[in-house]
Amino acid sequence: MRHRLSEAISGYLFVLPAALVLAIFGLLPLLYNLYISLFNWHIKRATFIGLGNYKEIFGGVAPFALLVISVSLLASGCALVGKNRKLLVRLLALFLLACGAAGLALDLPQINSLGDSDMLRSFRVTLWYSLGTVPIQLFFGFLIAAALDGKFDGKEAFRVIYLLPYIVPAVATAAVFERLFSLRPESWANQMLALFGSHPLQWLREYKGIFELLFGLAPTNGAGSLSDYWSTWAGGPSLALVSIMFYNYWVFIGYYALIFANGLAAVPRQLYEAASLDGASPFTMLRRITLPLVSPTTYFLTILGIIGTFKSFNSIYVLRDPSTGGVTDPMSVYIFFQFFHGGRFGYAAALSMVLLVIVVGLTLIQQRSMGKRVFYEQ
Amino acid sequence: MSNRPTPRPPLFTALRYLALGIGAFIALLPFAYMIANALKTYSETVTRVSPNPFSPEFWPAAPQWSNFSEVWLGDAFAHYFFNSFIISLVTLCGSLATSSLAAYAFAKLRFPGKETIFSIFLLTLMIPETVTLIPNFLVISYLGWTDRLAGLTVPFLASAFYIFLLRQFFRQIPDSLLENARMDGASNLRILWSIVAPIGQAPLFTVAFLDIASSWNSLQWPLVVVQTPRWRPITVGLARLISEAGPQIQLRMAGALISLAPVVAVYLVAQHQIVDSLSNSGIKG
Amino acid sequence: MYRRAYRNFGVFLLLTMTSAFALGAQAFDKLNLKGTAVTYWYQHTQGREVALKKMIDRFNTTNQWGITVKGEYAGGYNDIANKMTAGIAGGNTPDLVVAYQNDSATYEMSDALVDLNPYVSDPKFGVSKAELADYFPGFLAQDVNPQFGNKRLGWPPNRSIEILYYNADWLKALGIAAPPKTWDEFYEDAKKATDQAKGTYGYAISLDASSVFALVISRGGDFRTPGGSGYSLDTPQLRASFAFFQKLLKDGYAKKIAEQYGDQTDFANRKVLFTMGSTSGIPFYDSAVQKGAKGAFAWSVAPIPHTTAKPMLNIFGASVSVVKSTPEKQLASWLFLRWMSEPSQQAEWTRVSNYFPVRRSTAAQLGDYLAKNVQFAAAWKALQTGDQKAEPSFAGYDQVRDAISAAYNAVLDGADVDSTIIALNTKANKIFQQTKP
Repeated sequence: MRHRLSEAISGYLFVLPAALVLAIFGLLPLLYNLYISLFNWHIKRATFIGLGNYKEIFGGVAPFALLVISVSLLASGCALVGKNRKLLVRLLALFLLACGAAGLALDLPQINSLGDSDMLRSFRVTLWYSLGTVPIQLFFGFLIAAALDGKFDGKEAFRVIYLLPYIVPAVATAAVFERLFSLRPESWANQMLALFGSHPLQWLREYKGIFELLFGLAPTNGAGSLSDYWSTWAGGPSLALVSIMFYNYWVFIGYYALIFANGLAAVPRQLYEAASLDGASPFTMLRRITLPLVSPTTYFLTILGIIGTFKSFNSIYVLRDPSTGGVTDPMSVYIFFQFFHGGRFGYAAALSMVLLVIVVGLTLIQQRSMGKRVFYEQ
Repeated sequence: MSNRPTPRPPLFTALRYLALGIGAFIALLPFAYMIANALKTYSETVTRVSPNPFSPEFWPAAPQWSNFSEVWLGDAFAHYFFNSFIISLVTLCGSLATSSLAAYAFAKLRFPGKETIFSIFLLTLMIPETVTLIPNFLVISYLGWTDRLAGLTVPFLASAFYIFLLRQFFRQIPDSLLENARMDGASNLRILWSIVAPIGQAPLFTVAFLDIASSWNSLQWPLVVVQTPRWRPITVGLARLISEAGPQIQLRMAGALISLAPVVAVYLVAQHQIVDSLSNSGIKG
Repeated sequence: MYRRAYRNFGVFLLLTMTSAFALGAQAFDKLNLKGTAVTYWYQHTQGREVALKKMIDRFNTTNQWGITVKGEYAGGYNDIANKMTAGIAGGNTPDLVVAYQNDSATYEMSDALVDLNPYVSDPKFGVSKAELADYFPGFLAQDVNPQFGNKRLGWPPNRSIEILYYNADWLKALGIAAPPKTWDEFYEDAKKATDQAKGTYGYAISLDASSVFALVISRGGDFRTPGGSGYSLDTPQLRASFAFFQKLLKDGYAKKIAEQYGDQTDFANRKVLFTMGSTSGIPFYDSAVQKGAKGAFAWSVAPIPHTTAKPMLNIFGASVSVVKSTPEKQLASWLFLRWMSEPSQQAEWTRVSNYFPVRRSTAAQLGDYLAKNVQFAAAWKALQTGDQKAEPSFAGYDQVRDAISAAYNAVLDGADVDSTIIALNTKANKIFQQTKP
């Protein structure tokens, strides 16, 4: 009994220093932020406006309510889909999903016209950024890790080289990328294009989406708010954002590769040997042995990656250009400028609370969907 | 893991080297660009250009080492280095201490509310820095720590990420090992110091390295907190250089190389340990 | 019958004014400034910083009140703005800070700054009427902010103007007698300079909002509504400017600036004939031209082409604001500012910084400097001959500047001029509503 008590006391004491720092510099700001978001706060002068800032973000109570309803419908639909095999339940799940999706489809254009369209755009940019970086980094990271697997000459050297981009300050390397991807015909990126017979592109200065550039999927203008809004998604991420993604790949693929490499190394060799004796093809071995055993690493990197893109600041800040009109600004950058350009503290605080809810929501979704597929070695 | 080279078909080996070679080329190209441009004259940076690092046009006709001295002497870079060094060191000691203590507690000790507290810690990972910037600055100002070492280090003395990483590793240490020590009368602190830490060298190294890299590279916070050159770190010095050098890209590149040299040097010297430990930071399950 | 009333009233007025005067003067008079120390955040580096520090030292040793000023480099303009924002929130501010007018407006939304009008008009510590007339017209008006009841939120230490940079040797080689005065001439000159084979072109397009403002005023327009109650960007002048450069780019006689300072680089390497930028860039252009490929060449600056009778000059520059603190520190800060704007200090500062002085009489002390620095002299001449206008000083203007750059960029990429400008105007006024006090 005494042992348990002293253990508990030790536990609390050990956790205390970290808890103190995290509470003051991590959690307190959250509460402070929540507090500020209820005011019309310009650096120091403030008038209490309750949910006024949030109203401005969403364009009113109705759009916000519809948003919440749609998202809950989608969430419950997703939850039901996995659970049950019964036809009725599945139909219900599909129905919920359809209603939720319809709600969103109708609501987002409303928020766009009544609420903060720049915030909505920054949300879209964040999504593109996530979709464009995490899967590719996972894929190539895994590929490189597979190439690094086992023992061979030069392995050490390669591992060192691949980690180099990650450890170097962004301020330094981003300056190089700005030149490599400049719109000059002589820039490295354009010279590479010239090799393939293509004409120079504007890279970091190109605000048009890549699908618009490749397939001509331009946003409609004036065809009605629904079409106008949703067609902006069709254009895809801007080429400027894609250029920044290239920078991200360069920085992070080596890092992902090394973490995967360890995960791969932990897979017992005997499993492969036994499988090949049984006549399994390399592809089957990949699917049945490697991927499941590496799944904890994949899961870890996915969460890291997605949260990372929502928080991402440095690489965007140094590579962005105001002339692209915010198409490279994910939510964190947009919020930064609301704080520091014009000092709208209250509004920026409200935006950051919205961002927090989104991030927490995504993490929970990830936990539920991927967490189940993670295979932990017994 | 066996130590003999695993036998592979030659095609596989060829492909392996090809893939790794291409990747290495991509990884190193920007560095080559930095070095080449840092050594060029101003006009060469525009006229003597090539996308191919293997062609002589990529490199300067004659290396201009004076670019480095021009940058170095133009500002108090030595002092900024010293500042960054001290700041990283102090933050590192604090980080290691708080994180290992907390990670050990979460991994091996039992106390009510443990999981809840841990989840709350993880919550702090989801908060973007912009959100914490102003409130933290308010606290630091209130404490009178602006432009002081404390203001540059204290907010970073703990990180839920490092606690998470260390906890993952500590969990794998067999309980029996600790039980034996406890039965011999060792306190938890003693166990942490003499048993857990030595075993956990690799992840501790990881945390150490990540922390140093993050302190060294941090820009947003010092910009706001530092008022005088007294504690100005190297990143602020570099940012200043970038705004001054104007169009003279060769000076910018020289400055960039100067500021990343220490991190790279440490990395190359300790690379075996670091790379090993970083790849071990992934989750085994 | 009314004579007495009038006389009494007159006496009453006189008494009131005198006592107000006396009271006002007394309010500052009573302050003991001995040993007052104030901090000054600036953005200058290298040569400018060294010179500024020397001047500050001189002020500290020679001023009659025992004031000490401590100057600190606090980052670039953006960094300083961020620091001030955080500083005001945290109660940690300097006493003097460099700030553009829209930044000082933002600070004043939190009541952080001192209104300098009482100081300026103070009989003992202020600036006399004669001296006020010595300032370039319009320089002083910029810091009076209508959004805050015409408070004077800053004092100008120096100014710059948006100017046309041109390669004089090249112009002569093309057979052009003088830099273009109208937009048609500009078009023709750019056309002559373009040679696809050699990779040369006429103009490197600056997307900066200050450049756009210069374009608009050169056609007789403005960014503000006539009453100053908001933005009016949907103007024929902006449409004409955007359309002009859209055409110039399409015809191949102009190119977008590739990377930061790409225009200076191309200029120094004889790839482009014209660029536009601030006169504060003259020393940077000079050093770039010296180091350029094929060596240095003759170059100079000229007013931006115009359709108006006289050249229109976009005057800008950060002023220095005094932050609220104790009455002693505020007065001390003001006295330093006043000292900096005296002609001999102005001349010294001009020599080393290449910024324009704010007082006309400074020219008398700059004779040799003007003789030696061709480009500065040309810019100085432009200043004397042109009319001046300044960009809006509304809070939140920097967000509008970004929107203007984005709209300009879109137009250059082929977007429709009319609809882009209409959208821009809506956005600018939305920002105005959101950020006004």
